[in-house]
Amino acid sequence: MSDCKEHFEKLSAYLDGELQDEDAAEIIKHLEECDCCKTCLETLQKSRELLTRMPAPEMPEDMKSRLKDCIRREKSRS
Amino acid sequence: MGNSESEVLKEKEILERVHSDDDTGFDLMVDAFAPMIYRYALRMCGNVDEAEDILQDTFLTAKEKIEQFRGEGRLRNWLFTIAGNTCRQRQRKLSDKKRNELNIDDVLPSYDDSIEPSSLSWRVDPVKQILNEELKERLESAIAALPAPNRSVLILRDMEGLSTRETANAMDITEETVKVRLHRARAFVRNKLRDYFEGNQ
Repeated sequence: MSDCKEHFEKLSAYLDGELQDEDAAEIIKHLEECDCCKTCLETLQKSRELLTRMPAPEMPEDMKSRLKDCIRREKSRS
Repeated sequence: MGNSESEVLKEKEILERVHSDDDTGFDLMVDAFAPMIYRYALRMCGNVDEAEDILQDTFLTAKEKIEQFRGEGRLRNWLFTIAGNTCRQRQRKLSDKKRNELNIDDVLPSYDDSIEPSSLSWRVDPVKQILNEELKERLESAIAALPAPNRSVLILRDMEGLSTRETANAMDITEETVKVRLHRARAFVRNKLRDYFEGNQ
């Protein structure tokens, strides 16, 4: 557990493939020995997947045309 | 729009039309980017009317400052920068003290909150449950409860698909800060979902 805190802070970067090779190798080695950090990584990964797949809020249909009109009005004023 | 070559070419076309004072330049810009700026604004402020105001202010600012955009980075990311600044300015005006005074270290989980020897795995596959209303509400409220700088990074990285470098440029922070904020934000969301998934086992 002594190394867990240090490794925890790097788990997202590890998930994203953004760690240097040396740091990634250390994480992999630690995960082989620590079920707790392994579980933490898995649940972080699932959280990231949920966020990525979360349905996007739809923009109201008429908003684009209202925005275009607004920009044109500003243009004619300037 | 993502990062493909065709999308970059589309941005080039938009900029050429805008700089030639062609009215259709901004129309194209609205068609290409308004939905993502609206999504960002809505997720940042949680209010439909305010999101529309942020969207409008973002594009009016873009119109005013378009000559300052030199095309070194993506137009999309520049619009996110303006939208982020607009959100911050409006938040200050609204004196949303509760949100402004949040201290990141008080709200976001530290190592001690996030990892316990007894931590259960989530046997339920969350990805298959994304359409579950309760889960969606939990996710939305977790995102809304994040401090604004962490929420902004989470939205840009995990929901809009910007890279670490693009997010850093859009928010004018270092890539290292993006990584730290993103990790704390994900850990916060994970902790908020913990009861839901571990309670379902």
